[in-house]
Amino acid sequence: MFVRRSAGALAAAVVITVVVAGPAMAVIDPPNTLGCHGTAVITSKDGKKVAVTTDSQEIKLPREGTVTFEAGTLKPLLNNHGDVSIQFGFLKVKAGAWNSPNLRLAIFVAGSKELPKALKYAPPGKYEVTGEAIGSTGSCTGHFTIVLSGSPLSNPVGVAALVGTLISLVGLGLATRAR
Amino acid sequence: MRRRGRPILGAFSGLLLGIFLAVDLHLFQVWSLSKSSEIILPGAGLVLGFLLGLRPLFGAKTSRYSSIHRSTDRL
Repeated sequence: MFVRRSAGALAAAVVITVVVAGPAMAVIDPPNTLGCHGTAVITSKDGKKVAVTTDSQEIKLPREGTVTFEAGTLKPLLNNHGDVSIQFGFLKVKAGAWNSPNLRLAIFVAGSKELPKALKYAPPGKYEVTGEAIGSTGSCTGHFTIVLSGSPLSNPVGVAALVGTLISLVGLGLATRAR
Repeated sequence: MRRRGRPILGAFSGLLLGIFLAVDLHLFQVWSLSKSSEIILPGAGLVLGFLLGLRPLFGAKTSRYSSIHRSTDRL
């Protein structure tokens, strides 16, 4: 059970970070010596499905839903740890992390996970997601872009940013006046 | 009377404008928040704001006060 949960966490991270590829970027960073691979289907609350494969350019993530995944490596990743982070410019926010010995030598796992509840309140926009899984037998790193839809004005951050922009413009206008 | 500008207010307003503009462009999915957008836009805003704040110093038209002042000097 412990090993399965650990492998599941690793697989979720692998899936979330490495299954999308696009013309402008590779999701799995080379060299992929561990042979990390995976696919996923994200099902939103209203039943819409988003398939995540190596042909996906960007993932339009629903605000709520479930990720059903299959993922694996070519050889067991022993004593592994890793994390998944979302980049906000200079700020990197850790979305999840794990640590596992993988004593059962698992190389494949399938399962499902709920999307984080905090996603409902995140401002709309494109976000770079990066992840890594590091162990004594190898490592994988990857990245992709998620798109959260919605009106900027429906979110407090959006309203604050627009108000701040207007105030700055007023300040700039005042600065150009002679005294 | 020498015309004075407000370069510090201009630089500060420009810096804030750059920061908020970076967030606005991200929210409208024009330019994702990245190290580039967080450096370029605030930096450009700071410089532009500073220069705009200096603009009154180099203005060609004189202000009403300075033209009145000059005309009273002649008297």
